[in-house]
Amino acid sequence: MEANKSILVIGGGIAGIQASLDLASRGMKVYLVEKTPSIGGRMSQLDKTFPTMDCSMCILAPKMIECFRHPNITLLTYSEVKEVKGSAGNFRVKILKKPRFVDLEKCTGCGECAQHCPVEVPNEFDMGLGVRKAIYVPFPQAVPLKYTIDDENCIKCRLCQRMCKAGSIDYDQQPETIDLNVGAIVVATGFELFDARTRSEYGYGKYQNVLTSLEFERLLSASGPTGGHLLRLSDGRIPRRIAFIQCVGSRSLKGGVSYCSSACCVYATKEGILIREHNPECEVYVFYNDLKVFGKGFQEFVNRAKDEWGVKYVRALPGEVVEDPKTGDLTIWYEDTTENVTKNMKADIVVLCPALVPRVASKELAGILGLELDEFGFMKSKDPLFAPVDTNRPGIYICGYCQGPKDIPESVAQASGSAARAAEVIIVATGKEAH
Amino acid sequence: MLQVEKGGAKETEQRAVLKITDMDPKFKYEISKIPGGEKIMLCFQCGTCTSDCPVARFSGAYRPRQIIRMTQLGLKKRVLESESLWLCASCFTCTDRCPQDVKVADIIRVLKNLAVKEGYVPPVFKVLASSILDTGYAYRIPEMRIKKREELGLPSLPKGNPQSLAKLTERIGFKKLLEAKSE
Ligand SMILES: Cc1cc2nc3c(=O)[nH]c(=O)nc-3n(C[C@H](O)[C@H](O)[C@H](O)COP(=O)(O)OP(=O)(O)OC[C@H]3O[C@@H](n4cnc5c(N)ncnc54)[C@H](O)[C@@H]3O)c2cc1C
Ligand code: SF4
Ligand code: SF4
Ligand code: SF4
Ligand code: SF4
Repeated sequence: MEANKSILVIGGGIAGIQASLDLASRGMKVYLVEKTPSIGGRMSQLDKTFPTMDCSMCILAPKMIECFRHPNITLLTYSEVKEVKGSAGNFRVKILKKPRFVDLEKCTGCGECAQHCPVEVPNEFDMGLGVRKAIYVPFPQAVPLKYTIDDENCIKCRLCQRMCKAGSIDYDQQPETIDLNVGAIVVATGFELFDARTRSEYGYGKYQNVLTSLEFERLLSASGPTGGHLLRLSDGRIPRRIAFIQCVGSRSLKGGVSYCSSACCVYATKEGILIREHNPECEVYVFYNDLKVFGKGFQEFVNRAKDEWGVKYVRALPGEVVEDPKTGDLTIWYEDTTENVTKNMKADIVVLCPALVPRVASKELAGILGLELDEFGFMKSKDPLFAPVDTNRPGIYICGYCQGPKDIPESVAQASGSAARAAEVIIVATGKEAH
Repeated sequence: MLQVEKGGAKETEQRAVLKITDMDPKFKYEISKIPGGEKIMLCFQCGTCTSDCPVARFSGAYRPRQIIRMTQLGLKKRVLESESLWLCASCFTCTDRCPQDVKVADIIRVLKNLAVKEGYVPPVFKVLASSILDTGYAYRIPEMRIKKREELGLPSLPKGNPQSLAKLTERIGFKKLLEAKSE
């Protein structure tokens, strides 16, 4: 049965991409469903990646393009899963393909339309630090490199239609429902950031120079809102001291999550090294409660940050950040717990490392899939020890951050694991290895 | 032995050698059974409370995180006889900000109550307490002030009612506590 040879992968971050590529190269037919206009996920937003300090996009883009080109992979971007019926070996799935108002076949990705579009809105890819037009690609390396009209903000001026030489603008596009028959499903819907505004003592959302780590990652990035120049947003000044505050909402029993988000101590170290690389004059302080750097090569990475790059670590969870409204400078109050002394420090930028939490919408998806969630909203493993990528439903597997806190190497490993489990379903159903 | 200088700056010297015999492993359980003290074990020593405490910003002798730690370690005598306990202004900033939901200000109240039971009351509090018992006021209003009021034609201050206060403090055992432990 042909239908049983196909697999649905939900979420086009690094985990979903890896699972799709693994399955496709084993001869399985993959439908990769991604909610946003492009695959890539969080990794596409990163500047460099720990612990190797590779350029994130440089190592991700080839995988994204391979997904696009692979004859066994069908990309369904700007799409969402609406209904799942049936069971392992034979799931019947309904997918909603949202209208892009741009014909994917015709659009050449030239960008003429966006150049003339008069509407500017905050750019999600830059975490709202930069702007995009109402007709847009999320980022220059987007896959597919096709434009999308953001219906909410478009004022229907039709300028883009007049400018598009390929004639690809189609305001009459309607939502489309696609019916699929798949043998197995892999879920890889990733994470979002804890709302740092709720820790009002740190002033996020109130003080312009208090940023989240992901915003700061965009600020460091050559493709970011400042073109990779490390500047302060309030006055464009070159910062002389930047401080990180760890565990904002993580490992907290009050108004946060009790687990360790597991990537932040290492990525703060990474961002610290990047700052020193950008500007050796700029001091970096990391305020931490416990440095949780448990992965392979991570402690060495921190040691190098200290010894070779001069990143300074202070064992303290600061109590508050206060802004000088005249200068935009920030003062951090903390107790240096190794000295037992209450101190304050001035900084030009404060970077908060918020807890990484499951996407709010993953609850709805879990309902559609009939999956159990754990107390935090992560997709629940069938058995945390022996079946971490299995779920309560046979034939549905999970990987990446939606299963629990992890970094990229772990997401990739788990993606391969879930792909192997999904492939088993197909092999059993068809009675042979697919080719 | 642990060198403790009552209430002085020495309190903050953390490098002192702790002897296992100075620690009472049951102390933290004792505290956690008293209302307000339940979450003492959740403290992970992050320092948020101290960095936010308005008293700690002015007094090097006062460190709420350290008080919690000493309590966890069971340094009962050291905690209870520490005068710094009494510097807490009960503003609850620490409780508000503690990420582990430790009710720091409540724990300090629990400790103060225990300290009184054990007979550790700083002299200044005894002066205040006896003033309340004698006059009905925590603050003894000087004769000078009363005269001045008369001169300015201000109404005289209401009289305290030490008799009924005495009855009350007797009932709740406050008076006995003070008397029994007075040196
Ligand atoms: C600031 C920061 C820096 C980091 N730096 C590093 C680093 O240097 N090295 C490292 O190893 N790790 C790093 N990490 C961690 C890393 O980002 C994650 O481990 C990794 O991105 C997880 O990948 P994922 O595919 O599981 O999730 P995501 O990247 O979140 O991808 C999930 C994808 O699923 C899509 N999706 C969500 N819901 C749905 C749905 N219902 N239907 C369809 N699609 C959906 C999303 O749009 C997204 O494309 C960092 C994290 C942060 C916050
Ligand atoms: S029609 Fe909409 S997307 Fe096109 S140019 Fe006008 S505002 Fe922009
Ligand atoms: S990785 Fe570090 S910063 Fe992140 S939650 Fe864990 S301990 Fe806190
Ligand atoms: S803020 Fe809470 S967890 Fe942190 S040191 Fe104080 S009592 Fe402990
Ligand atoms: S309640 Fe006491 S310990 Fe807590 S912040 Fe206020 S003065 Fe400091």
